[in-house]
Amino acid sequence: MRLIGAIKSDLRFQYKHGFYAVYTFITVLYIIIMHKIPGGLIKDYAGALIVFSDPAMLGFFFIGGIIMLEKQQGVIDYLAVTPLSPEEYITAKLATLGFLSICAAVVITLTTHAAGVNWLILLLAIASVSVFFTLYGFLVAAGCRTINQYFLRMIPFLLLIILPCFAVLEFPYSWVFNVLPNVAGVKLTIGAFIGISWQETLFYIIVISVWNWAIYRVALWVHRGGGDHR
Amino acid sequence: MLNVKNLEFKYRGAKGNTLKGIDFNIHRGEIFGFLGPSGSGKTTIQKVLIGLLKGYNGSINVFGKERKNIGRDFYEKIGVAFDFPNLYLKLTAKENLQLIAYYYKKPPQELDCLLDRVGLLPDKNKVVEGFSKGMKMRLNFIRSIMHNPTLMFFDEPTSGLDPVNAKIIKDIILQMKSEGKTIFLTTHNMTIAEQLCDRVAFLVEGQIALCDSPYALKLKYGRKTVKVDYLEHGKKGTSEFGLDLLGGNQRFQEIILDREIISIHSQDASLEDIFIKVTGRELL
Ligand SMILES: Nc1ncnc2c1ncn2[C@@H]1O[C@H](COP(=O)(O)OP(=O)(O)O)[C@@H](O)[C@H]1O
Ligand SMILES: [Mg+2]
Repeated sequence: MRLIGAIKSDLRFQYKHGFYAVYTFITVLYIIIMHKIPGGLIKDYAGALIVFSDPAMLGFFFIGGIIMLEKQQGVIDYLAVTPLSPEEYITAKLATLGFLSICAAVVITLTTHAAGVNWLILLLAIASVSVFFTLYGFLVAAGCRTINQYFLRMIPFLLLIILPCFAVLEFPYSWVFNVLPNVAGVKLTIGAFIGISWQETLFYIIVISVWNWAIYRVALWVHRGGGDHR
Repeated sequence: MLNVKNLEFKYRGAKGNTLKGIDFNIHRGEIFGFLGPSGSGKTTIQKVLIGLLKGYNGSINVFGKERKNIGRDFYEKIGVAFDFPNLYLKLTAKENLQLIAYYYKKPPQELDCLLDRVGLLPDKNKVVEGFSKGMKMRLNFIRSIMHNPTLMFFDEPTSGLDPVNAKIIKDIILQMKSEGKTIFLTTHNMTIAEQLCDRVAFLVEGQIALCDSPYALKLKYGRKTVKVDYLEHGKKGTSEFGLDLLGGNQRFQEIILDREIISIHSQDASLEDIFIKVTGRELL
């Protein structure tokens, strides 16, 4: 099956380019930091933030690196003239990076927070947030021809996504931000550590899902050449 | 097999059309070559035909359907090699073929056999990053034919190859033709075109200046000549004469009778000469 082939291909590509080595290093670093933080609510929040920023940043940066490497090597053009569809191409990227995110999140959580974590919510949060950020990073890289162009374009996109997260600090009307996928993602992840009502859980999952669906359509459109810069 | 009518294409942001109303047909089992200097639009045509560049005007009818309306099944049936090798650099030669092979319904041909055919078998487990340009081009080439396509597009298939390897690629192309495959290729090398193509189209600035078989073109535009080198008053001289009515040519008779002849060669006009004559341009 083509999708399985694409996933195998992506795993091989990411492994050979050292993405997994880098990621192992970062995960170990996170675990060391977590062990230095004293227990209690602070640790719950810190754990949630690390576990959240992990798939988010991983999706965002890794997909950028992968796309730019594929562009430089020209393979992205070659794939476009094989039977592999844009849907399969993108889905394979989401699956591989999502799987990596989940692995990292599970390892970090297990080694630092053995008890009191709602695993179901945590996994849902990681998986959905990973999809969003991977597609978001995909859009940043899609229109870029050079690495320099990519780095320049990345910065505003990154700020746009980090700043609203301060809405976790509860100020008047901060709830408005809850309809943003990144804020919903943070709150869901924190909820997995300190507890969250099922209504809120459902709401955040719906928010992220709607965003994911929309950004997937945009990514497909761009990948098919809608925003073609050739 | 492939009928193109009044094809126009404009790059986003470009001032005018890069392809300016192109018409041609490629028949089943034919090798059709696009010849032209660099920048004339050969790569652009290929990319439009294979659907990599979208938004053309005019019509491209391929496998009996309009190009725009063909689904991804199209790519099961065509093979594409780009003008520069686009390979996974950190993967081995074999992996480069295997990973792409997954995407086809028809299981690709024996990969080792193909690698052997282009002399890459000993390097099949080496990472492509360390390959020479020629090795990459050969791998790039066999990747485009491993799924046994019926219509192939090769952009400058022998560029960057030494004569021995260029010959290997040319032989494979000819063998595929003998199996009934249809081949579109581009080149700025006239010799390749003469050796391979059943018909050629001369492309100049996005337009076809001329399209016919190399033989017919030579018949029509080429003039067979003889070149005579001789000694005249102790100095070397050279003269060229058309073959037609050669016997009645006074100057020719004069030289033959009175001068000391160094050599006489009959010459065929090359496609290159014809290209220059018809388009007023050099091939670069
Ligand atoms: N991405 C692009 N954007 C704008 N113009 C382009 C692009 N690629 C090629 N061109 C222009 O199109 C013309 C034809 O190029 P190309 O098809 O590569 O020619 P060839 O393959 O015959 O050398 C050239 O003038 C080139 O500058
Ligand atoms: Mg070219």
